[in-house]
Amino acid sequence: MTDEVEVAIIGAGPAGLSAAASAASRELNHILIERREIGNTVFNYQLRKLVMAEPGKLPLRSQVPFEAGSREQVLEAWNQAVKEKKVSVLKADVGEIKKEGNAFSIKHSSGTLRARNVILAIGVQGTPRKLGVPGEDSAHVAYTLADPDEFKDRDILVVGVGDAGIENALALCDKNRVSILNRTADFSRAKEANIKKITDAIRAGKIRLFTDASVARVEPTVTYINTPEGEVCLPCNHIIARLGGILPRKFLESSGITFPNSNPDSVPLVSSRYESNVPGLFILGALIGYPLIKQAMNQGYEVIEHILGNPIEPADQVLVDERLKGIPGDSKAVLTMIRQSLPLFAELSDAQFRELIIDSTVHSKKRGEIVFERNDYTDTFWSVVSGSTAVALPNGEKAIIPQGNFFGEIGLMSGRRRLATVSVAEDSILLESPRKQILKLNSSVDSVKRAIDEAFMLRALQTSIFPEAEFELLKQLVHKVVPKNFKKGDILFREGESGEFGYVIRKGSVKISRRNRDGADVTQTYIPAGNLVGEMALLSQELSLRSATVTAAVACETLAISKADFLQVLAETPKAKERLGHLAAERQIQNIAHDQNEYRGQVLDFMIAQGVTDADNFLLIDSDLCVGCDNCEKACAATHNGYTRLDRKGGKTFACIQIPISCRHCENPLCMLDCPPDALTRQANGEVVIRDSCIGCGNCVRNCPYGVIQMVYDQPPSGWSLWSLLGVTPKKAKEKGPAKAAKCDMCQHLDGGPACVRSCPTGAAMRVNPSKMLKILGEKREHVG
Amino acid sequence: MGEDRKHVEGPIEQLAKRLDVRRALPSLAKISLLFAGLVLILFGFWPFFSPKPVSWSSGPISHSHQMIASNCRACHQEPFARVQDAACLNCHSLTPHTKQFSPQNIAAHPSLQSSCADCHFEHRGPGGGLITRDPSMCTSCHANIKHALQDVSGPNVRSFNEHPQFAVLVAPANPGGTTLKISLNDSKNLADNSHIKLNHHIHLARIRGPEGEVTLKCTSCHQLAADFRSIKKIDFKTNCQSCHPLTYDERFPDREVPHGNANQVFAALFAEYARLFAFDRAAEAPLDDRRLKPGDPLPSVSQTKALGGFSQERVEQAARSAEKELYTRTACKLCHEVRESTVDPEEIATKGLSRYEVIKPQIPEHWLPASTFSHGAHEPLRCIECHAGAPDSKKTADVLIPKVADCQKCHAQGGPGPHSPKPGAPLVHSDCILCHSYHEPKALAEVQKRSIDQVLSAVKVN
Amino acid sequence: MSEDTFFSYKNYRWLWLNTIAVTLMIAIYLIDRPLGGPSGGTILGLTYGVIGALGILYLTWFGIRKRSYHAQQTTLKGCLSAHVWLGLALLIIVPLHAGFQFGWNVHSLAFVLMTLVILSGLWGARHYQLLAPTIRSHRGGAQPLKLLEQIESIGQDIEAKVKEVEARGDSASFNQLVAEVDFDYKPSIWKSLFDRTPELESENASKLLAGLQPAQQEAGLALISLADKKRDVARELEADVATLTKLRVWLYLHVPLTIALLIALLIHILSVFYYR
Repeated sequence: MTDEVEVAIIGAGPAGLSAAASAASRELNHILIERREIGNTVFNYQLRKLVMAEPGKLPLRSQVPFEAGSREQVLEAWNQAVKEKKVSVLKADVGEIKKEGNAFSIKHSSGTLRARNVILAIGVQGTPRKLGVPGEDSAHVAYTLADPDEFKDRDILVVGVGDAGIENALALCDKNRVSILNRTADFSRAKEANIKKITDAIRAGKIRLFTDASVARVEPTVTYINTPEGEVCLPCNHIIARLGGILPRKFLESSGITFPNSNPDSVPLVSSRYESNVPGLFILGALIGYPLIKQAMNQGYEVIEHILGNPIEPADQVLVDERLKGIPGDSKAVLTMIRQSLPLFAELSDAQFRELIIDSTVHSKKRGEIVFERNDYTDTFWSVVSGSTAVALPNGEKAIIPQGNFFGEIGLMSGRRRLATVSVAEDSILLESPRKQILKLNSSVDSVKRAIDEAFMLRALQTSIFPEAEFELLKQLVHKVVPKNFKKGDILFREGESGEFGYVIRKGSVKISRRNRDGADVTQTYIPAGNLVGEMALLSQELSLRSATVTAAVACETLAISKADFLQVLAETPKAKERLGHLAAERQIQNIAHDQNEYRGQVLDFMIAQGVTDADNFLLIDSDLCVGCDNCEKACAATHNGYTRLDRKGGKTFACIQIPISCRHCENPLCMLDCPPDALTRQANGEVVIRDSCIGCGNCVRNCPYGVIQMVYDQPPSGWSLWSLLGVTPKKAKEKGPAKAAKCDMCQHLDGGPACVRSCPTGAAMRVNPSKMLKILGEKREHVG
Repeated sequence: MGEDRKHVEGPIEQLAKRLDVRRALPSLAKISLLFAGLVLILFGFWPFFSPKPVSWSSGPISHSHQMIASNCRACHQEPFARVQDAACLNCHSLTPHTKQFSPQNIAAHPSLQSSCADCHFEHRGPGGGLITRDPSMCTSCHANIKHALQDVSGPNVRSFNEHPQFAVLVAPANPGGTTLKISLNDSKNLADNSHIKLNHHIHLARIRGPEGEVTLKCTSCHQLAADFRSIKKIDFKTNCQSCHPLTYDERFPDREVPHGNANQVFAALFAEYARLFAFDRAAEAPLDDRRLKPGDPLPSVSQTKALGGFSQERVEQAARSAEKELYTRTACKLCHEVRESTVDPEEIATKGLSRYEVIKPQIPEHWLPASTFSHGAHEPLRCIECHAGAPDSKKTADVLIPKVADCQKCHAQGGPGPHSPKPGAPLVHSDCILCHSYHEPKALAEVQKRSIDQVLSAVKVN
Repeated sequence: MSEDTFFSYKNYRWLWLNTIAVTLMIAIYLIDRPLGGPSGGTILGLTYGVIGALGILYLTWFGIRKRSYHAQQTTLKGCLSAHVWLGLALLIIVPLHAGFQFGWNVHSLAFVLMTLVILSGLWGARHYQLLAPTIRSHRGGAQPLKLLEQIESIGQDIEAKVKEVEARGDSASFNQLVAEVDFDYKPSIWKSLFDRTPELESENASKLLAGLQPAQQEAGLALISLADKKRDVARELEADVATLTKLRVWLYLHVPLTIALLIALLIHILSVFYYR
């Protein structure tokens, strides 16, 4: 059969279905080709699976209805739409698409078809990504899960924590022993609801989780996996690998579609109307990087309107308009202007850029206004759309950040406070983007990562080592530095070694230790991110030895600068050389002073291990005074909806000082690393708090190294009564709704300060900073000594 | 990583709980309720049902009130109200302090509104409280008496140490005048106007008595009365007559006229002389037979005449002569102030009245009537220690009552008094009621008096 | 340490304030010469009574203050300091109120109860100071639960040893050694306070050990070391339980007596005004 249709839509997924329904309702001659089922992706979901409708903000524009619901509900609505709109469906397998003149010839399993326009919406589900290790094609390795009920009492390893992996693991975990393997530390690729479910299941012990792990090799009954603790042998009857699909690149290329690069992750470039480099061939959905159902359905609608010759705005135009309201001019023009003026985002797809704008705030600021101040805890990322801003450097000078540049990346990368004050140099339009959004781009768009990394290194070098150096010199240096990452406990260099590299700590922190007379390492001090270590051995041409050992206190990202490069910059910057010389001398004196203070070293070790060196204001309990009345916990519970955020009995003790399990409000809060709703934020005064927008995913609970975050149910406060005077507490209310993450919020709602400290009858509980703790312990020691 | 803190309770966890005293003991609420309940029942409710609500009593009842000790309502007649005077007056009746406490005065001076319970404290045990000796009871007004009562003229007294000089009540100098209250310091006006002549000096020196010379002592005349407090009244028969017989005729050395009534004296003289003249042999007859006995009818003049040998004129002459001798020379005048009768001579003659009058002596019974002084309590002392002027007193007018300074030699309130012989020597503690009583004594009106049965039934527990 | 305790809070602020107040009250009491002698019924007595009653109410309010976790103005430590010193002051103020009249009645009962409350509180406060530094589980030691688990696990090890020896044949003399050194640990507060687990008596044990067959010597030594450890853990547990008990048990007098005192105080006030 060689009929010619106006539009051939290949793939009856959400995009194809929407496009076909639009075409049908516009009475466009069309055909929808699908090799399996209508809405095959959804059809392949597990029974009764909940289908999400994200992103929530985005309006749906399609002839096909879609809202969040069960798999069955969604499929029924779609099938009904197909019937109602009289969509013509062809069940066939497409083999080849060839452009012949101004039409396409489509070879499929039951013949050939001619079409003036082709819409490719086949998604990536047909070509799953494989494990890539020996044994990946064993019989017990599956890349889909048809019916979870087929498995019972088996050892199953699910690889991948995307939605599919999570859902499979959840479906299997009731009747089987299920482990799930996560290549990274977080669940960021999955939907929020799924993250919450898997977190609950993991906490309930139904699923075993391996983070930062990967499959090493597959054997018939066991599977070896790499974990941070080493290789682990796992009994395993089945492996279900849900690593997502990969683009059917060969098929696309055979149709004449070109790719921007050879990166297997890259997607074909399409116009704003989804037209590929082959005119008349449109590509929708996951193939061009839009994995969400709603996005794909909107594209289906838009592409049909475009083929009909109707001008069509993207569905999120309203939201973009809303964001750009403050800037005079047509919002489309403004959007283009912003995009053109920010080279950082040049490689973003249209949709990515629009999403960024929707999540960002556009500021129009006058000359002299402060954008943020040094030591602020804000963590947003700023781009200069027009005008310019100035960074106050430590030497009192100001560095201009011209139009098209960005700032705030140090906070973004290290999670630390603002290192410098930034003010507006000339009237500017600034784009303020949330940290989360930029981090997402940072991990998905190479050019963004590269640009930000470079800027970060440059500024880190400039602010922490060579403020005096020529900018160009530093730019050259940036290309020479080598990023080096260290795990917790790794040694950057040892005392007595010859020094070859200096390290800028980009993320994390290190401790400095020196050997005492007995040859034991004694911790001297602690250096947080943003600083340079190891520079003393680099200062002179001749061979010089490390005067101390530097160990990563937490996982660190550093930039290593070789001695030669370092000396080159110094040679050209005498001022810096002089200053660093002074600094080195000072250090040497300090080293001698601290040299023999083992006790101080022990205290520092304890503080580093407890993560309080980072903390500004943490709770400690003086065991000499604590009588164990638990009033601190009761006070915390009473002031925080009935659930205490501190565990008095927990935590570690040094001498008589106990650091209970309670939030340290770290300078680099790991809990904030991966919060889907961005509910964890740092307040202007440094406190890390969880906002009500918490969805209960539990990421922060797992990310906190000190175990201070819990998932709790709110208990309504009960106030005091005559009975409470006698210690009778009312029965706990029933747990309602989802558990949410809870931790110390420093009692921000109380004027008097933290209730735990105020409620300690003996004054054992106190809030201190690291230097105060050192002082207390020093006094205690004198007292004892 | 955040551990889940919920544990399934294993047996070891239960054992651990047993080691927590908070779980091993009953809850604080239960123990508290038990304690509170016990107190409430034993001390809150039980007193309402027990016959003797001892636990509510603020202290044991005095001995005097033991008979109403178990009847709270005998005194506490109304809840949440102070004990009313009416409750006391049920059994007791005493007049209040002075006439200043008249209803009008009390209305005008709220400070005077004192009730029995202001001074009489009950529930202070068998010994104390009921009669308080606290000087402040008096000094609360008397320390600044003008403040309490503007119309009272009197010195302010804060303690016995500054007690004002005693003032004695003395008879008026001229008979018929009002009694005077004169301070012992007022030497100008201070005089004993008792219309009797007594020279203590002579009496206390060696003196002739009926059986020869004697030396009298104070107690020869001033004797302690049976109440062991006061001194017996001086009585002519007891104290004077043995030395001062009322004889009138040397011929009848054992005949005396009666003491007391002037007219009777004359009548007695007349009768004696009539009998003498009527019976010649009077001298021969035993004296006893001739003596007129009390109750004997006096022989009338006509009878005497009828007996013959004498005349009325003669008898009368003799009697008048003896009378004159007695009144003006030998007897009466010695002690009494005597004057001629102011009665019409005609009437004197016809009625046979006395021609003389003795001014009635006014020997004060209480020199210091506001106080109660006990001579018995001062028994170890010699009389002259206080009445030092007596041996030298030659005039009746001398007032021999000791001054306040004499008392203060031994008595003081609190510390040593201004007159103590040895500075710092311990003195008899003397509060106001040692000498003064608050209430004016007054006999209970007969209507209020009750039988023993009535009293007993009134206080019976109901 | 520079931080002050709840006794010495702010340089003994509450001690000084109470001392001044009590001294003043004693002075006035000595000057005052009420009719009928000092008692609760005089103006001064009544005034002191009101002060005393308010004092008791304030002290009782501490129970509420302790739970007023939202309190902003004061710290609990400061309130406790005031609580302690005012309590001691009341021991003087209340007899001044009564004019030192005591008897077998509800009035003196209230005083006796108050005295007991204050003395128990004093006992507790002093022990808070003395015992807090000796709580082992607060200084990196294990919680009682963990120690119990350790005892349990050592017990299982001993059991395993016994079975091991039994399996190898004659175990009579070994069992004798077990009976000598091992013991059933029954956790109890009473025993922790008054009857601690004794330390291992090495003399008997070594005699019995010497009597073992050479083949059982090694097992015997291991057994003794296990039993010794078990005793050590038990003793550590008992020491902590005793300390924690002493820190808490006084409240079981302090609080119920306070409630009883409040009732007695109420009856005292009512009865005094009922029978004025």
